[in-house]
Amino acid sequence: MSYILIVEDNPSYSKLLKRSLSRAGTKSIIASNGYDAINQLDKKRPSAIILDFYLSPHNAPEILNEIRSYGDSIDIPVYIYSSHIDDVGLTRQQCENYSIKAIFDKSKVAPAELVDKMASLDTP
Amino acid sequence: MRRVNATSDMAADSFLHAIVHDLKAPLGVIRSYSLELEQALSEGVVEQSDIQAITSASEESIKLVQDLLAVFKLQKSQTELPLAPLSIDRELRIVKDELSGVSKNYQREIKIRGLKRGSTAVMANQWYLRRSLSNLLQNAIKYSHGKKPIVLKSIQTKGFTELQVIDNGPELSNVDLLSLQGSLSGFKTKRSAGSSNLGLYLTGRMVEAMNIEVLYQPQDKGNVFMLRIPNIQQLSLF
Repeated sequence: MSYILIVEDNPSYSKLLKRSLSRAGTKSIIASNGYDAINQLDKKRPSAIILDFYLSPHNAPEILNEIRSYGDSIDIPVYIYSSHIDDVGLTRQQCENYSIKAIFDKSKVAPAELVDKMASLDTP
Repeated sequence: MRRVNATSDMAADSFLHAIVHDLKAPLGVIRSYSLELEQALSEGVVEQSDIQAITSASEESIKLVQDLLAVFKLQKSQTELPLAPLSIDRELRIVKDELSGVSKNYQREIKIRGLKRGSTAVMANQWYLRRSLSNLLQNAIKYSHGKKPIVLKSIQTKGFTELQVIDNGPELSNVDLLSLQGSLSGFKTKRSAGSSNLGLYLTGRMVEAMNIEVLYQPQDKGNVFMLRIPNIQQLSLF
């Protein structure tokens, strides 16, 4: 993992995510909503996306639909990071379609722990 | 009869769900930053901003619980809410100052407009007025887009002071507006994006208890929330 796009509207989380990734030697950029995320994708293709679920005005599936409409972004792995994973309600098929590798609960997995888990998932 | 019960149970479930949602977010921040501090302490380098993040998220949780308790009390109580003359200028400045940490965190500026020399006195309950404005402003801070400041405006109309919170957030749907009007139907069983509507609901109940009219107007890119508070008289308090 060399460059991660963080899509998160809560600055308290995005700041910690960026710091934890940096500690692990990974560069990252923060987008606070879907529009920013698409703009960032236009500039540089990330190796993975950390995506909050309930963003405003568009939620994660809406953003992922938009991202997936860009042909070269289809296979970017996505990690959903939400306080409300019980509500996420994505089917296995949807996860496959959106390249969602894992869903993490913010109240149980702190940003530093998330970065560790992502690294372990990334290790073959 | 059974269908009515089922509907009200669903609304109550959605309301509880919104409370859990709005409490889980700051509690998750507290946990994350506490773990960060543990590591920082072992390394001997603690960032002041990390401590502030914990303080701010703790205060957010406590205020939410206080607001909920206050609204539950209001709904149970038959007694009138005590109102007192308040300087509107002073109240606006205090609410803005109280939110300085949140607005800095989200990099959103709050601008106060329309204040005139000599304060206008209105009849309201200080704590409820501050909490109502604070809830509207917090929603504005969290869900606005772009760099435009959030405006807290005071306008004098005949016998009234109209307080406006002007944000740059997405337009409220009719379902969202139900929360402001006090209906639990405004809480969706399955949210799609953005706010849980709890702040709107709490604001609506608080202003209602003060007999303050609340109005909503979507605008080109954003929203205007208006609180119409009866003036006592024009006087200079300072």
